[in-house]
Order: sequence, then C-alpha cells, then structure tokens
Amino acid sequence: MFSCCVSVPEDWGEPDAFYAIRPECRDDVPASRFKPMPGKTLSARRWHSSFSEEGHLDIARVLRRIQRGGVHPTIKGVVWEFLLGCYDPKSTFDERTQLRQNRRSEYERLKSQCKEMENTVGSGKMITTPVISEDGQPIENPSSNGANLGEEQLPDNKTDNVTQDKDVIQWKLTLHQIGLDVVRTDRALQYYETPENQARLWDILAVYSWIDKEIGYCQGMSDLCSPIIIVIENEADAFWCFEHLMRRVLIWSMEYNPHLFSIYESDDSAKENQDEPGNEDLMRYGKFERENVKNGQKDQEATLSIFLVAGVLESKNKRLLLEAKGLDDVVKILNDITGSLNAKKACDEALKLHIKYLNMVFSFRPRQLSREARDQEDHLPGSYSEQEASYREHVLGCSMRASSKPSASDLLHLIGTKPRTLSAEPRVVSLLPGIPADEDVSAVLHKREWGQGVHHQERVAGRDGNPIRSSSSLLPRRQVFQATGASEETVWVASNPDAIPKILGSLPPSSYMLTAADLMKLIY
Amino acid sequence: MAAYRADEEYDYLFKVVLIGDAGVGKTNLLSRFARDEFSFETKSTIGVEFATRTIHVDGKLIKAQIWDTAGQDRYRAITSAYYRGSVGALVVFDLSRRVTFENTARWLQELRSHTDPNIVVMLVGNKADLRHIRAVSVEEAQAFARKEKAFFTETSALESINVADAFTGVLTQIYHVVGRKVLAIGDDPSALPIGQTINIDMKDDRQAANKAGCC
Repeated sequence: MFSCCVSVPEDWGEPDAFYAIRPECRDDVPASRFKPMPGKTLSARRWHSSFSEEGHLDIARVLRRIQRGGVHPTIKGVVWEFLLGCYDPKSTFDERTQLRQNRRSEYERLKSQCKEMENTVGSGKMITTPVISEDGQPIENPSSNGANLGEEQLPDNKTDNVTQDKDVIQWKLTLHQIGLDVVRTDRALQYYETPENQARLWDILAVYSWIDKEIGYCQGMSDLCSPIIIVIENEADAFWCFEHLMRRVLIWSMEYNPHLFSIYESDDSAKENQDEPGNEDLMRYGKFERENVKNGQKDQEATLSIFLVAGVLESKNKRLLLEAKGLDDVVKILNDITGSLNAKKACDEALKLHIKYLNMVFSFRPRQLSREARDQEDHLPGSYSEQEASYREHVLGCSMRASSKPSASDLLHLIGTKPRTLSAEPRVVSLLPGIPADEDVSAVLHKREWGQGVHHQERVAGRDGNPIRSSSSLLPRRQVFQATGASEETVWVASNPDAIPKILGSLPPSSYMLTAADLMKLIY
Repeated sequence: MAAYRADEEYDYLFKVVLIGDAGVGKTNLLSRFARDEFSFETKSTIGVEFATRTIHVDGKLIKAQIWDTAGQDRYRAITSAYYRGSVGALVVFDLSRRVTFENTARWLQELRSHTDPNIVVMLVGNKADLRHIRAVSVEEAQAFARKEKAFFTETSALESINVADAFTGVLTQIYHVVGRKVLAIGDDPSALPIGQTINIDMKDDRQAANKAGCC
C-alpha cells in the first residue's frame, strides 16, 4: 500500500507490511488507519527497556505509550500477552519461561485429545463439511478436504462408530462450521494464502471449542483469533493468548487491570492486591479501570464495551430517533458504521460516558470514602436509599435501581435521550417469547437464556492447570439499550467482541471491519 | 417490520428473507441481486443485513427489501425479528454440499413456524457453477420443493446465472398473491395494496442456462 505516514525512521516501517495484502485484493481493502508515531507509539526498544533485570515489567510506563500511540506491529504479540493477562508483569523472565513451557505442553495435550477424536486436527488440513450427524452417526464426505477421504467404511460398520458422548458430538458438529468461517476469514491477507496457516486457525478454534464447551464456537470468533495467530508465531502461545482474550471479552473487554493475571490465575492473590491504590498505582491501570478504582466501582458488569456501544449509539442517536421508522431503518443506520468506525474516537467517547455514568452513580456519596466505610457498603454502588432513588427518578429522569449495572434507561439518559419525553412511558415491547413487556430491560436480559448460551457467571478451574477463573458466556452478553421509544421499536444492542482488537492498536483493516451487527446484536 | 413510506417512489414494498446453512452463498446472492456484485472476500455474516432493489412488475414499482442473516445455528436468537413481516423467502442450499440441501427441511420448518402460511417460498440451489461436483440432482430438489409447495431454481451468484430470476420470481409471485388478496401479513396490511397483472422484467440476468422449473 502506498505510504500514509510522514517520513519516519526506517525501523518504523509500514504497518501494512506486517499484514501483507494479496495484490489482487488491494483495491478492495481500505488502508490501515494506524500510523506508528515515534515518541507516541510503544516501540520495540522502549518495550524491552521497560523490563528490570529479572524481568519485571513496568506496566505503567508502557501503558502510557500504548494509550497514546498504540503498539508497534513488530511487538504486538508479546505486548498483547501481557495486556490480556497471560503473564503477570511482576513475574520474572524465568517464571514466564516456565509458565510458557507448561502452557505449551498443556496445549499439546489438549490438541492430541482433539486429534484422537478427529484426525484432521493438527494435520495441516481442515474440515468444511459435517463429519457427524446430530445423533452421533459419522457422515461420509466424498467432497471433504478432511482426513476422512482415505477411510473406507462399509455401511454395516457404521454402528461401531456411533459417538455416544454428547460433548464429543457437540464438538464434532462445530468443526465444519469453523472450517467454513476460517476460509472466509481475512482472506485478503497473504498470510491465509497457505493452507497451513488456515489450518492453524482452524486447529486453535477447534481446540478452544473443545475446552470451552459452554461457548464452543460462535461465528465471529475466527475474526478475533485471526490477528492473534498472525502476530504470535508459536501456535500454543497464540492459543493461550486467544483463550485469555476470550476471558477478557467476557469480563472487561480489553481494558488493563493490574490484577488481571491474578484474577485469572489464582483466587487468593487477587484479594490481597485490592489495597487502596495511590496515585502512582493508579497509573498501572488502564484509563477505564482507573476511573473505576478512583470511585470504588467494583462491578464487573459495567464493562467498557457497554460504554463503547453507548458511545457509538450516541453518535447515531439523532438519526435513530428522527429517521428510524422501523427495524429496517435501525439496521440500516447502524450498519452504516461497518468498516468506518474510528476506534480511537469510539474509545474516547466510551471513556467520557463512563465518567459521566460514574458521576451520576456517585453524585450522592462522598468521593473519598474511607476504606472501612467502603467495605461496609460492600455492594457499591448498588445500595441507594429510597430518597436517592426517587430523586434520580424525578430529577435525572432515570432510575438507578438496586444494581450498579446501567439499566437501559440510565444509558438512555447518558446519551441524552430522555425516554419520558418521547412516549408516555419508556416501553419495552415484549419482543421475545417469555419476556413480559415493560420489564426492566437489563433485568430481563439477566434472566433470559439466549439460544445455546446462558448469561451467568461461573467459576471454573483454569485450563492451563491454574485454578480459578470467572466467566460468563460470550454472545449472550447482550447489554441493552432502548433507543427508539418513539416508534415503539426497541433496539437491543449487545456489546461486541469484535470491537476489542481495535482497542489494542490497529490491525489490518480487513480484520476489524466492525459490522453494526457485531456491535449490536439486533434482537427483537 | 417493513415500514411503508409514501415519500419514496414505489408501489409496493415486499420483505423477503434469505435463509440456509452457513456458507451456501446467501450474502453473495444478495449482493449479486442488489448491486450486481460478487466478492470472493465475503466474511461470514454476523447479525443482520439487508439490501433493497426496485423492480418493475406490470408497470408497478416493487421495492424488494431482502434480508440476510448469519447461517450458524446459535444466531437463531434473532429469528423472530428477522422473519417478522416477511412475505417471501429464499431457502438456499449449496448444490455441491448435500448436507445443506438436507438441512433445508429444517429451515423450512423454522420459516413456517415464524411466518404466515401463505408466504412465498423458493428453494434455491446455489453454486450452480460447481456443476462438476454437484451433490444434489435437479430432479430430487424439484421433487422436494414440490412436496413443500415451494418453487425451485438453481443459481450461481458467481456466474450471475438465474439470480435476478430467482428474486423476481418470488417477488412476482408475492405480487400475485397480494393481487388475489389471500396473503394475510400480520399487522401491517397497509404495506400491501392491490395489484393486477404480472409482467416480469428479466433483463438483468446474463442467461437462464440452468433454469429449472421456477414458477
């Protein structure tokens, strides 16, 4: 691609060179908006000099750079590993080497488990046609490019091969779906011209869907995984990075919290670290978490992604309210965002809304509560007095219910839309079977199961041998906004996993086409 | 809900949905019909998209609003909204992958449970350009369509074969049905005034080489 940068020292290179685009596709793919900027972007040199002799990483130092100018493409992989919580910045080189080694063997173990069930895993090939029926019968695939080709099976043999285990059936049922999406992932990139690289992506997603039976595979995950395997050469390392990304998608959506590593890896150490942070400590948080910490906001439900979506919605707010006469208009207006979202601007907006939200939530309490006082009110900021609640109801035009999660109307208020002025009552039309009309949207969402995924929090043993993680399901996390009260159409918007890679820095354009549909699942 | 607006220039607005397994070519069928484009770089569809194109039938302007969605099962949560107000459906399979044909039965079932029984349905065998690895015969697909009271055609979004025919076929049929006032489309009858005769404008397709018994 032609240069979009002012002249920079040689080692700054062209970002597009790191994600080379196939010549025949150059016209179809928009140029990357990312420009590494000396003095702003985190360079390889600065990154390496941010480690102490033993290997402790000065995370505050690199975060400042990342927030200002992103990460230079040459070091994206290693930086992401830390940002995603794969490694503790306080760990030493030796500890990390050990952990890396353990994880690599664990990945090999998982992969061979998968290979035992389906020979195509790890073969450099992949599956694009179903290999099993829903009742566990193997399916012959003459046109498959998988490993079944050579196997000759007589019809009367078939009963022997019937898979009984539900988990195995479920897993095998997703394999061809992964394949169908892998061939459609970032195919303008030279990287995917080789079948081996496609198979790498397929392997990682196949293994992931085996270890995460709750989520399995969802369309869109290939787009999330793709940039990771491009920047991280070792397949096992890439796998664990993706695995941590998936956890982050579930929890904070890519905002740095220094306790990230401990939260994933062990239950106890996280608690020890929850001390009152000083100003210096605050710098170790990402911008979003920093505000949460300052305000004592501990709730993990109000994620950056919620505010990201709110921010994007806000930018379309007027059009939605004035022009949208039906779902078709809503879809159209939101789909216009596809491929044109300015990630940095969107994040800035999100952070602004977040601060606005925190101010609303905390406007009734002294900002600097002593730690003891804060501990007493352990569910900050959920516990409002009735007086406060009614004030909010009447003055602010929105209610903060006994939950710190932003409700649909809170968010509406944030983005400057007061439902009351639009229609007599902000109305949630009952759009889905089993959901009563007029119920608080977020309450409804948390009750409801969405398709195969269920929104709930759970704690399970970590997959790399370390004990605990907290998770909730991926796509079902639909944080909701009621955006068009006037037309009685309710827009349901979900936070979007696809937005996440953008926050870390610029990826090849093709890998961050944010479809409006990703950004919000329009359910209705 | 397909909203009817007087300020735009058309006589009828019909909502048509595209359904079928992942990777059968729904998105490219749509882009071929709406914009005469085909892309080898299409990504898997996530969520919902739609495109429109206006065609002439018997001197009337019919605006088709074609909806396209993800094929993966777990995205089915959005279905009720997706199907709402639709008066036609193209159930697409990939004629080189037999399982996608077999699954059309399930898609039809889902369609019927969410829409009016009078909805116009067309079974579409896409990727006719892959005739050398065909896995579903025309006769079989035709028989199945007949049984399901659906129309049938084979298309190639890649080679632009029959694509416009498939869509105009469905739209014309809808127009018929509307004309006979037999279509009850939920709560928005205003979207469907009365029409009379039919005259399909088929100038867009290169040829109807593989056309098989549509309409």
